[in-house]
Amino acid sequence: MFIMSSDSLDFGEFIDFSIKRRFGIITLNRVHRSNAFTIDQLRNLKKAIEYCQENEKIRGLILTNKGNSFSTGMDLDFIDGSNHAAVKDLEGTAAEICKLLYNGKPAICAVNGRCMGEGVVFEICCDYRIATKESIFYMPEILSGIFPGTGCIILFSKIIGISWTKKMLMFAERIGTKKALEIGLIDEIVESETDLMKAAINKAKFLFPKNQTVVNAIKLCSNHLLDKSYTKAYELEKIGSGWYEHEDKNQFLKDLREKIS
Amino acid sequence: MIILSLKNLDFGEFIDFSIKRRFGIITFNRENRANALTIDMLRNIKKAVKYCQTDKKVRGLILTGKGNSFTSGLDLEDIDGSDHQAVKNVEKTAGEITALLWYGKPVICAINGKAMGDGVIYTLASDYRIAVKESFFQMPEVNYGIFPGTGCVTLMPRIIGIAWTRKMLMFAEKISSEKALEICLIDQIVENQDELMKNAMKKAKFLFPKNQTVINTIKLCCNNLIDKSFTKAYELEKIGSGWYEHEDKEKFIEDFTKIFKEDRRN
Repeated sequence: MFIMSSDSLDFGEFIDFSIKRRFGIITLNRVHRSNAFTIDQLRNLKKAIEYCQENEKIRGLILTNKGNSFSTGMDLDFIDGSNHAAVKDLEGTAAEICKLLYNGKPAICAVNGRCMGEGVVFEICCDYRIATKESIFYMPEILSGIFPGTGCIILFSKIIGISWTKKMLMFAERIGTKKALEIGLIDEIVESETDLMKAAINKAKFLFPKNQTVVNAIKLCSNHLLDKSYTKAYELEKIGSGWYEHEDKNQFLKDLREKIS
Repeated sequence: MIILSLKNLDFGEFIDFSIKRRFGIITFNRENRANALTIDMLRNIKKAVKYCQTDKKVRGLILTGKGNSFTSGLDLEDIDGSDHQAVKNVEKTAGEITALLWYGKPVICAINGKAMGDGVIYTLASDYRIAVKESFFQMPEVNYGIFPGTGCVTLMPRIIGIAWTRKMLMFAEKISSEKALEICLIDQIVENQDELMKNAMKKAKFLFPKNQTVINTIKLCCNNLIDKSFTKAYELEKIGSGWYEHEDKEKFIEDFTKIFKEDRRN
């Protein structure tokens, strides 16, 4: 069976990959550096996510981590924050990951521990976010004079609102899980690492037997209608609700994605 | 030193001004009328805010009030609510102040008590809002048949959401500081007036040594991307993240601000 054989797919260094319940499970694994991102790791992550989007057998993905940090953001030993060209290159890849997560198949994020910089950015893109109770969320970019430019400010302001966006991005406030749940930065808190994967698989289990065209169309509308006028938004919603009129469902979703974002 | 000599700048009646940690502190001082705003006072506030935006030495501003009220809004003894022309004039000035705060340098709002009408609007437009616990927030305009037209209906749903906007503007609900914190109308509650200025200065201290171009660019993006499509927003963000490519940083901020201000998209 195809799915079984892709169980051991390799996307390169620092990324573990497996498939369960038709969901691709992507695990950030660079524990000795608290899962800080190198440019190679980001590229590998992008490849893994892309694979999930393209493979018709896969219905969504779970993004999680090994160790006690989900991710501490860019590895500043690898990328010099004052080297603008390097930062830009990295930002480009990170932005593409955001876009894939925000516009693509359902994504579940299972955060275990510290979540900083790009970690928060990827987390915020996902559709259901679960965190172990000691996790913290933090955007330290401003402390190093870095502009967090991966397409994240638009997502922050839409998902947690302008006031909290400013507290996180301008004032670098650290957010605990309780507060994160309150402001919509996460959706669920769990006690332990075991509960974390259980809860994530639970959500995957909920989604995978559903009509995938409908699930994906709902996701696109949920994420993108807020910035449209009522009239325009309703037009797009009508396209979504007419999903069954289209022979080729993949093409339908592709077109909707194009139109809506 | 220039900063020291500016400490006693005078922007006219009912406005105190000083500079600390490179932040301009604008204090409403018309205590006998609960800091209600007259048309002259509004003009003076605008002058002071504009001064902070233009002076290169100033990196942000703190808004606060003297006494037990932040401001109770327009003084209806100074401006007749049923005189539409007069209201329109006041609104224009008030609207300009809102825009200066929303698009300009970082603003910390230290709410020392009652905040009504334009007081609430300044709160909405500021980046960090601290209030003493006895403060409350109210938009009484609808009671007088006044439309709160100073950018308020634009900002309010963006900051506190549509449901709370309706409760405040259509039903003139009085919001306590605890509720205000919950709905993101403010960011922090403090026990008393001493704590208020201490905490406002803390935030100023946090901001003033940072890269000012980055801070101001982040602020513009935080405030103004919410109504853009994902694709359009990311294009704008990329302009922001390319701040270092521009020789003249002030010109860059000015141009970037203009993009948002002149957006006429429906």
